[in-house]
Amino acid sequence: MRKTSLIVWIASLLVVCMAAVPVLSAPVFGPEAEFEGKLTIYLQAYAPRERRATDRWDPPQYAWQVAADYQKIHPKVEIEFLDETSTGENYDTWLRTRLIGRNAPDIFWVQNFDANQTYGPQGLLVDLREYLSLPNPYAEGFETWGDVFAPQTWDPVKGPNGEHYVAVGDVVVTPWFYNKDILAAAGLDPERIPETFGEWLEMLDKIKAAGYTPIAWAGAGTSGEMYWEWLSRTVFHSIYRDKVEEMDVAEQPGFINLKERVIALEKGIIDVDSPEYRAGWELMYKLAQYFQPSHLSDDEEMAYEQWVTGKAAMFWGGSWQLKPILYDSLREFDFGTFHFPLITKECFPYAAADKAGIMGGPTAAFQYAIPSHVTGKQRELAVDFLMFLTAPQNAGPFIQDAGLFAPGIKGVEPGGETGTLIANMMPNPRQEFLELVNRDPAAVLLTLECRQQTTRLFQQYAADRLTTDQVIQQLKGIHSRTIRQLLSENQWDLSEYMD
Amino acid sequence: MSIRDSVTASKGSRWLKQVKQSRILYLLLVPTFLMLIAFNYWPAITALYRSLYAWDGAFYQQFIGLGNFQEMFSDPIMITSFRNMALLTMGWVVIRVVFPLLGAELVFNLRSAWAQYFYRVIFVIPMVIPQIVTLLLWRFMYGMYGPINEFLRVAGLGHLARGWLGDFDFALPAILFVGFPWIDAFNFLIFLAGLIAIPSSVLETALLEGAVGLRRIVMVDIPLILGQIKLVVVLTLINSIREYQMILVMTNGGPGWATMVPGLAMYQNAFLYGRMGYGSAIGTTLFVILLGLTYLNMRYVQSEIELKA
Repeated sequence: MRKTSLIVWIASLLVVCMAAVPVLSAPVFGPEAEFEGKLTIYLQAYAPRERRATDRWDPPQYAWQVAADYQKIHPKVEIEFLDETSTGENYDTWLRTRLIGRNAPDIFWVQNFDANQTYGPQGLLVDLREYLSLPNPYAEGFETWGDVFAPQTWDPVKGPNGEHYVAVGDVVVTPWFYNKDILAAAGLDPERIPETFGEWLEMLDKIKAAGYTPIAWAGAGTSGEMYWEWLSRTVFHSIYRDKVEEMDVAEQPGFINLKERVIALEKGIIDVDSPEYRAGWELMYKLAQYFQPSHLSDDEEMAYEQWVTGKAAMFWGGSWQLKPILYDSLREFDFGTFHFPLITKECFPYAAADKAGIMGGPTAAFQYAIPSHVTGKQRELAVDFLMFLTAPQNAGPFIQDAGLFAPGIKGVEPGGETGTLIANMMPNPRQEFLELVNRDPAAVLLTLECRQQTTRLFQQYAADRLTTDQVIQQLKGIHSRTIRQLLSENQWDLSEYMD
Repeated sequence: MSIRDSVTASKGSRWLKQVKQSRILYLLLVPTFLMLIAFNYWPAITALYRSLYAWDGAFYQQFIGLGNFQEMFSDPIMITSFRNMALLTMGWVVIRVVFPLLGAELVFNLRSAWAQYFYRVIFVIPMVIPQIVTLLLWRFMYGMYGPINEFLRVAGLGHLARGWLGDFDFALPAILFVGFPWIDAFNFLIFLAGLIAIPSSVLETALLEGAVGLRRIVMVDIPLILGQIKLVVVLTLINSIREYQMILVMTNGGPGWATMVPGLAMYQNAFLYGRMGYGSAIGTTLFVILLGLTYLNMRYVQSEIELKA
């Protein structure tokens, strides 16, 4: 009798355990889920802070509201937002150290291409695919969490094999800002923006002839790398736009990823020694003749200051600068914006794009990932918070309050103080975001080292320290070394693509 | 047991007894030594070992023997970096010895004790300003609309104005010029201490012999503070070879590679490009160079002690 009851007891326990397994193993998200603990979050430019005495406009603060709303649903959760820190190389160093030390925030900002090329393949990030295919209980009207993301923040941010490390919710736009007074003083119509590269060059010539510096360029330090990247991508997009289909041979159709760029170089689709590649460099050299003489010693802040104080007519900036420009007491002129004009065959024989390439896309500040060392219930909590944040009713005011970028969440429109300006900056049908097609047409960004080395080549080239032949020769060496490194590190076998 | 053995045994037991008596002091030293090993010696030793690998600092690791060193010595950028390091080191050795020595001589020869004290404080105060503040200030001064160029414009030499740190010909000299008038407080104090230590009888004799002014400095002061000069030279050599923070802040090695130095290349490769192995190889090479110079340093410091003895 006693033995029978023991067997019954064990069997009952087993049945209960088996029934509980799916409940326990399936992550449960949404208001019904129970969470407790602390979330540490780094939101980059959206990091909330109090207004300081030196601020001329309100800093982003809506994240506090999001946290408060989330805590109403999950009162046992504590949320800490880290202050905004430096970007660029220093942030990469900080993040890499934290990730390797298993000490990164539970949710943090990372560029999706860095996630896909570096941190993700190294196993340092959580692949969000399994969560993105689940419903988002905070977002009504969407079948899955993934459905809340707009097309421009969905496909282009995936890794080579469809990995999805980063939840991206906004879009950056980078127009040229111009001083209307200087254009008028140079005899130009301040309301007429250049449609083609040829028209733009004519404008720049007139501005120069009128005694003004046409372009304030940031060529020093990390700013120099960023500006060089923008310029090279825009120019080479124009040259290689018609080769996109030929390059698009590996994973992720419709977008040229790192592996495909390596294949393109190995197959000679991108040929550094070709006339068109050389012409691309010569075109950039031509544009550099309109930069201020001190461009190699000026960083972004210095270049901006030259523009905003009326010393230069144009400045390449981004949507994140709208608030500073609007509130800058140094500015005594009206400004306008235009995008890098279409490079046409009339002024450049190798032009191959029918749409102007626009710098920008899903590479702004709303790019959040979860480190792989965050596991179990803590990982579910981090995912749950991201679901909450990306729900349109939260993401909308979160993005609009900051006023830095355009939204990349369905159902959210640009709004707030800079909303109209940002909406007007979005690409028209004759323009396209480079980020959505091929983010490195000239293969100068294969790695960070490659990007920095080509920046330094451009600095020497623009200052007449190198000839085109010397640049090409050095580029061959840089590409060759980088490709060897990438093949070795990624264990890529390209033989199937080499026919 | 021979007498010699018994003496050795007795010495050993006495030593053990002494250690036992001072065991608390020895125990208190243990954490310091552990930290030294963990944070100073262990990283240096692992860097030696890692320099033989292609290693990304996280997961990828492949033994490549001397491949990193081979790449380093055949890389034109590294050759430029070592050349820049050599030029900067030579410049810094000269200015960080000559100008603090000049300052120390001026202060030492002041008759008023109050004036001596005042100028000593004035020369030493910059020591408390964080280096980053000084560097950012200099970067501002070198800007196109910074004080240096504004001064040139006011003086009617506007055609000479330029972005000094972005000029291929002037960037490296501009780095050297940072800190003008180069009265390094630490070196200044070392020289001043050396001068103060010269016996007054020697100086009085020199005066009687007619050695005054520059003649006394060359014939009397410099030979008597040669130990301090050697020490400052070696310390400056070591600091110059390790230097990269200044370059990182001022120019990041640019324009082009005009101001790149091996220390910065090491930092960039290790922490930015994920090439920890290659960065370790650069670090190992600098370590070997520094080891040689440290040996010289120890030798000179020792000779100074011997001189005093």
